[in-house]
Amino acid sequence: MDIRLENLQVSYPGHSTPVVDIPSLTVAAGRQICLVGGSGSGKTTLLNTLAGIVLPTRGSVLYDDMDIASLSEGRRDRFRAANVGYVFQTFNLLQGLSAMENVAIAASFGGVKASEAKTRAKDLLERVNLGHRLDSRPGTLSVGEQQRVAIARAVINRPTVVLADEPTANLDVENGDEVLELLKETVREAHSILVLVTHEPRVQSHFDDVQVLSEISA
Amino acid sequence: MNLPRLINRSISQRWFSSCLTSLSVALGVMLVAAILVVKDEMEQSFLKPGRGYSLVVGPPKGSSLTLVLNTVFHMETSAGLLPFRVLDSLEQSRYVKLAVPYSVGDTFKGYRVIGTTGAVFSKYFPHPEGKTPQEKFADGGPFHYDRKALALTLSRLTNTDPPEGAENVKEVNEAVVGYEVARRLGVRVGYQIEPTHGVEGTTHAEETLWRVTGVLKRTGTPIDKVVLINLDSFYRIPDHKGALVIKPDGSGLEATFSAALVFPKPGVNKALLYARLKGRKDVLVAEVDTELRKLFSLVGDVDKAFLMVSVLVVVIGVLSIMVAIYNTMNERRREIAILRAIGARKTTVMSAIVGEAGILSFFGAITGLLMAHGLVAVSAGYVEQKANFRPDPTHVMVEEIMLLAGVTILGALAGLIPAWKAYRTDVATHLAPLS
Repeated sequence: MDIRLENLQVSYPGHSTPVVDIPSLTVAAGRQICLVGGSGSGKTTLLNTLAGIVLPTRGSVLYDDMDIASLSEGRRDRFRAANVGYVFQTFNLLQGLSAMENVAIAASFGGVKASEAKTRAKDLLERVNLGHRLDSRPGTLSVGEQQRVAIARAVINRPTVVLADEPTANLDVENGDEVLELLKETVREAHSILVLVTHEPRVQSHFDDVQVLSEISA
Repeated sequence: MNLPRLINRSISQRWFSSCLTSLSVALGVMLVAAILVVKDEMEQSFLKPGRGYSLVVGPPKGSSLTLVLNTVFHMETSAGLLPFRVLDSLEQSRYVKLAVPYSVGDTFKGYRVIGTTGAVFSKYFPHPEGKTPQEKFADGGPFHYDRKALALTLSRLTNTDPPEGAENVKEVNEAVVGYEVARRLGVRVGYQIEPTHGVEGTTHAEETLWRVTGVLKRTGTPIDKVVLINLDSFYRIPDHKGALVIKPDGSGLEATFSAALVFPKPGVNKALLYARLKGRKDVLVAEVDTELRKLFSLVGDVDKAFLMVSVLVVVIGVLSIMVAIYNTMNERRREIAILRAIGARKTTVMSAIVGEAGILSFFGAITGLLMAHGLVAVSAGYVEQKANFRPDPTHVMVEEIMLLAGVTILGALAGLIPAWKAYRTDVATHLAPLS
């Protein structure tokens, strides 16, 4: 499934200029793209728009030919559960759940049966070298481990796209590089698109396809 | 699968405040359930003994309610004395099926002793276990009762001629004990017991023993706590000469008894008999059922007030769940945003909040019910001492199940307000990294 942005504008009330203003952008299935932008350049808003969390003020976000903005809120939730994986800068794991439960719960939202979700979660956590921390709570994991759990959670439904919002910003260089490579590998194995936004020049070196937001914006 | 897990997670993350809010519901439910159980037990303990009884005839003193309490429940002291000719007139009445006289005044180790006739074991005399002696007795059988023995004893008391055939009369002192008397005092068939005079338990001037011929089955009514003795033996005790009064025409003495339980024949006989007895100035007649209803209409208003206060406590408890969840909404918003971002629907998030409120209410209600029965168990002895009935803590009522369901539903409904707040949470705003 390709993703196409057509005349996309996202504005917030009270702001005269749009936060996101991209005339055209296409990301083909399976591609991994790094979008670079400074603070306030609309990186997170763009990802939220791709996820259907924020609706465009103008234009469309097309998954093949389906405009995500045309879906009702409930259908957008279902679409997101099945087609979008999200990796956040601050990991955003649920504190009361174990590593395995944090991963499995996303699969359950995607309609996967509980037993199957657990099996997938276990396999994925082993894949990101956390097979020994399945029952650990987020608070007992290191930041690097927490982000690896978040990566496993993002890919468990083999989504169309994995959206990564500054995934290495809270990690040291060594951990950051490791997590980045792991993210790319697991996303590739899931045959998903990876859209990563960052302000760190170091991260760009891991990608062949790097686009600067200010350059692709109108 | 997600929903229970989310609810469980939310509760366990805030276990202390969850416990406190549940406890506030539990306290309200405890009060309501305890009042319901005690009220029901009280009604049962008062209405059960009254079942099957019809009219009570006593001396024309005091109130009808006191007469019923005295005769059916063996509470209070007897209001006065009735001459035996009243019993004769009742027994001979064409409206009466059975008349059972009671003569009271003695006790046996704190339990009331009642002098009565063999009619108390008649199939018409109510007993929850059945009609025949086999069905009524746990062990042994009725005492020996002979009308001639009574006539002979009374003739001696009143210095009148003995009845015909008196020389062949067998005079015995026999007793039948209620279930509780037998259980608590260890009395069995064949034992000899010695009742004492009055409530204070003064020993009679002459040692007089009664042989126990039977133990009644448990009925859960006041009859479990009495000792029945044959009426003639009651009057053979020299201390009971006080049961004699001067005849109205002054022609001599006549014997008296305390009261009579009267069972009319079926149909209109009860109404006719009641009207006739009501018109007499020498007796007081009370309808057992009517008096008990009057009693409960008095008690009912008081317990309705208690019940209303308790229901208010439950409502406050449920509202406290709403407030507690509502107050945590700020810290929950980020979690909600994360859940929504990874695919949770708005309705899932909303249901989790409603479910949490419902579950806290459910466990609060369960705890409250257990506490209520615990409270009844702990206070049973005190209640028995003060109110003359012992509530059964194992007695579970349908109303309690309804209370459990009602509180759970009410709690879930109270959760709708914070759930609506959760529903309206803006995901993008609350996903932003914390500064």
